Amino acid sequence: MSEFVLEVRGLCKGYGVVPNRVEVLNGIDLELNQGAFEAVMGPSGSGKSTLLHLLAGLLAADSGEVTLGGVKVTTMSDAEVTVFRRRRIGLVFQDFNLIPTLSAEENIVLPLLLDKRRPDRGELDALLARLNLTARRSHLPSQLSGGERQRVAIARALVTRPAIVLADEPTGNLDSPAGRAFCDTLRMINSDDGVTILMVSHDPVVTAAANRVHLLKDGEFVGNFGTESDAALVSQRYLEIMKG
Amino acid sequence: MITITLLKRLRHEKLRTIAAVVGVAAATALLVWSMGLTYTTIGQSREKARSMTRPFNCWINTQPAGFGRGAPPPVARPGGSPVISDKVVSAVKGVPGVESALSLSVLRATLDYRPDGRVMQGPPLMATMTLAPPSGSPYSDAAMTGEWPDVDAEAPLAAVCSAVFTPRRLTPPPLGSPLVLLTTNGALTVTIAAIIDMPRVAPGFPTLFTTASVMKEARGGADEPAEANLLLCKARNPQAVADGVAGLSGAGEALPNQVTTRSVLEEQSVSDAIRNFKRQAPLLLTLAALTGLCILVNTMMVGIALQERTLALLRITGMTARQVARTVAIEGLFTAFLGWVFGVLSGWGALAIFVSRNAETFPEGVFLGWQTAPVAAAGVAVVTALALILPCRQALRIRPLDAIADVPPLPAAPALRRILLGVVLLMPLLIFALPLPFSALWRNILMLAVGLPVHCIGLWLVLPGVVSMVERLAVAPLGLLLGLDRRLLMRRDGRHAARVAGMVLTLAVGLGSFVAIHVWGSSMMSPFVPSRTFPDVIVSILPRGVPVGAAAKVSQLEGVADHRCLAIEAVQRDLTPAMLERISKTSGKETTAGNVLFLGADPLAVFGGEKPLAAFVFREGERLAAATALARGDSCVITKMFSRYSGLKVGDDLKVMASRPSGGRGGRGGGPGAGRPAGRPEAAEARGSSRPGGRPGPGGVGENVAPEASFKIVGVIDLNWHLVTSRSNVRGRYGYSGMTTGPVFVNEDVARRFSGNSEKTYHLWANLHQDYRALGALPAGQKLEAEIRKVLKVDEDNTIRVHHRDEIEDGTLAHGAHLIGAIARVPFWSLVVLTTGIAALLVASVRARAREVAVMRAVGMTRSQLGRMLLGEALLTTLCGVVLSLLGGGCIGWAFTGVTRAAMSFGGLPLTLVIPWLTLAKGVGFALVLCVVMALPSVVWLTYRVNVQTIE
Repeated sequence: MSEFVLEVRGLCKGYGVVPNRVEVLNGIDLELNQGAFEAVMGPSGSGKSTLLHLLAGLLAADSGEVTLGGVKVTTMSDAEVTVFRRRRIGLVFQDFNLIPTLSAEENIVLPLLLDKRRPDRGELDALLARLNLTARRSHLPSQLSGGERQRVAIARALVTRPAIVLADEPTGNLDSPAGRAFCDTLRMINSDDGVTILMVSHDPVVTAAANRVHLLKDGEFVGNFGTESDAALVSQRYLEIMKG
Repeated sequence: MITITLLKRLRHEKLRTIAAVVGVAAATALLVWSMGLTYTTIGQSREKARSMTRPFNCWINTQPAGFGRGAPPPVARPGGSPVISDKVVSAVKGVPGVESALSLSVLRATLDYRPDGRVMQGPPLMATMTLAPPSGSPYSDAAMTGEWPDVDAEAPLAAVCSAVFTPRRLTPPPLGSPLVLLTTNGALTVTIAAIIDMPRVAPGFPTLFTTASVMKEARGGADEPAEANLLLCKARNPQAVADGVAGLSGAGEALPNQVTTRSVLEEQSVSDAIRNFKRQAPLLLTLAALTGLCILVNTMMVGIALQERTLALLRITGMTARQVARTVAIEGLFTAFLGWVFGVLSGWGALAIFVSRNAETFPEGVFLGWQTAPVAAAGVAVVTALALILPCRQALRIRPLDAIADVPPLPAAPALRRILLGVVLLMPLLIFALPLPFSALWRNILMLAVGLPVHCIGLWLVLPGVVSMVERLAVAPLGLLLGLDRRLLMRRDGRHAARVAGMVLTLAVGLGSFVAIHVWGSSMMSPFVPSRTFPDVIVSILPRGVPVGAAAKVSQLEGVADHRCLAIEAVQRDLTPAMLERISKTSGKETTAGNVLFLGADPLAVFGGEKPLAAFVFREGERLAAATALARGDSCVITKMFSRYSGLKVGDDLKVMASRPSGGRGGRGGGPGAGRPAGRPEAAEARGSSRPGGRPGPGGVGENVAPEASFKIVGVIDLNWHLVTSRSNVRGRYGYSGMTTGPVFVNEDVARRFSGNSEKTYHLWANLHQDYRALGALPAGQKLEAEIRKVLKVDEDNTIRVHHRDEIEDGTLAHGAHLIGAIARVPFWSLVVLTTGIAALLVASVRARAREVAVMRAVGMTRSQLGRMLLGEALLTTLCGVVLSLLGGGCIGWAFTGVTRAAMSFGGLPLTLVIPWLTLAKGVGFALVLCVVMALPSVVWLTYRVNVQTIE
């Protein structure tokens, strides 16, 4: 059994056909330990979101392997990977992507509803309390602020106790204070609950919340470094590596 | 430029566009088909007339025959109908160009035909019989199987045309089969020696050719008269024959009839076809229009919802609201135009294929009728104009900022006040259906101008409430059925509800029409279904009857319950002018049948004792007291229908004319007991000895009798009497027509005094013994008939028919179901077309919620779960449509029951509401299955089409 929660080997993905084919990812290798909080950073078009979608099983890779929690995701059928994603992966998106007709609580327990599982009321209440959503549990998304919506999104990602949380530009639609608060929330759940988090962002302030950053350029990892929670350091190292 | 760009968008919304085009095309095709079929039928009229008369093309018929529909002509009394003189026959033969002229003496007869041994319900089969010409079948062009009967043969042989059996869609019995004919002079049995393959024959033309001995017996032993009452001619110029005969009248010749040519028959066929079309047109046109309207509105509204962001962006860039609305209108017109083109082509194509496959019925081929295309175009234009009102209004409301709206707040739940108002507005239509005191014309005006539109507005207002209620009630069981949490099926998006509303209304139109027709049909039929309180059987022994005392013999049979069998004497009497005026005032209409049908039987047996023969339910009066009063001879019991019609109740007097008016009406169509000629000895004898001792009583027939007879009403009973009295031929006796305002129960003596018949019994009443009941209606009836024939020694001069109440009921229900089913076929097809909208709705729904659906997939919804969720959405929409259609269709069906009842010429019918739940359940089941079938392709396609990357 692998010591890594996430293990990626030689992952490749391209779009289109020759001569218009674009190779978005060229042989990505990545490993994440249990309890890691790491980020992927890169310019627009570098393949960050594609990488996250491949890891989540939302896209099929052209080649390579993804093993999550000891399970090879890349060899699963669509139905299998969907069920796996529902139970073992938490997803947080830039645009929150809450279901507008479900309340905050219902959005949070959506993966459980799809799994036909009853949510544990005690656990749910605790989760809501941790994320300061107790008073807003029955509100619809249209009645929540941006920050609250994103916290609902995190709660939805955590409700199934996933093996890993994948966050794609999670602060993209938040203002700076809300974004900082969000990053603090991520750090909290990582440190308190040991949740493994892989985040994608182009913002050094956000990626500085993670412990390590992997730089992605033209579909390949070109380097990685510890953030020391220093956004300026992240920014400086990013520029150095990208130029180099 | 913008318009062209937007129209190009239709390529990317193929499913919605196709659904709209298909809907308009189907509605257009329905109209084109119906009109084209009418034109084609009209086009066949020449060949139809030819096939009905070949080889003859002109004729003289002195029988008062009607063409086409209408009552069959009465039995021609021997020596009673006008004849065609030799002079006329010679004149016709002398016209140049007349190739042949066949003069015949014909007689109408009723057939006692029992397929599979069952007494047929409904109008009997009739035959026009004549001597078989020695030269063979006059219908030389028609194929014949068997051997032409020799006119001088001893054996009673006959050649029969298949047209005799065509009215009831029966195949002729095999050669050698017996055929029982009923004439005024008794029953005759002939053997079928030949069958002429001629499915349609002109009215009055002979359909049965037989021997001299049979004809002699049919005429009561009279020799064949020398003069004819039918002259069939084949002439090169039929008009010349008509002119020649008409010219004879100038010479003082009193002609009984004029020459009829084939062209008259052609004209009649044309007007029949047009009349048929006019009868169907209102329902057809309404449904076609509503189908097209609903599909267009639905798909256009869905399209606007899908394009809302695009249209809002256009508004931001500078397009005015009117320009946006114009774009929507152009899209609608373009779609409608495509639909019209496809509709006309497919309607014509379907008609051409149908006609080519039925070459025998349409030998002249198809007549498309150039008018159908422009008429259809006009219809489509009107419907499109109406259909665009809502979408254009919606388009005008699009605000530029709608393009950049984040998560818009959900609209508020439908206001309770609005729903309550909707419920209130449903009521006027139902109120106008009640028997309120205004004329049928005013009722129609109020219904159509006020009731129906207000009802439709009410349905529109209650719709959100219906959708909300159905969702609340149905999501849990639907979730269980589909294996999904019910919260995944709940829709609280107001914009989605607007999309759904269009589909719900669309479904409600199709299924609602089906519901309305069946509710109307069942409610209309209900008063005609024989009451269960009638005795099990009524036996008719016609035309000659049996001696009085037969009842006592029959009551000893083991098949008769409680050894009780009663004789009934049936006779009609006209109501007095005062009574007629009363009816007219009470009912608001003139009565078409100003008589009542006295049914005379032993009242103590019928109504009295612990176990009366008839379990009639008394609505007024008391049963035992009524029986005692009836026994006195000056009282009567009437039906609730008659009471309602006339306003008469217990304690009032029913007044009738004591005797028949002279020169009375013709008897009922050809049936036995249809009235004896005045000269017959039995009738005169019966009148002379009507009462023992010749004592004139109240209403007695005699010389010194009061002109009016009066009976005290001692009871009012609930009774559905129409078909029992019709099938058993108790009506239309003694020269009266078959129409009556209803039965009146009196003492047997009273009835016999009126009829003047004291010697014969023609009808018997009895209940069946339990063991016979267990056999079933038909076997029990057949067994009892054989036993009665044996015990009463009834010879072949009479027919015995055992009319079982259950068989009459079955026949009534079957006939009604057939009629209603024929009318309900149109909304059925309409429903099929309308459910195609489900596919477009689902696609639109997913597209509008593309990101939401993608998120669900991303969070972990499998394709199977997504498919089931979409299917659940389709089923919920269908269920909303079902509820609305049951509500609206039921109300409209009942309302039109009231309208029809008010417009009927005979009154007194109760306003009952009968809901055929089983039939409606089948319709609902069909609609649900249809929606699933229509939704499935979209569901399957969408589950694979949803791109999870739409979340970005």
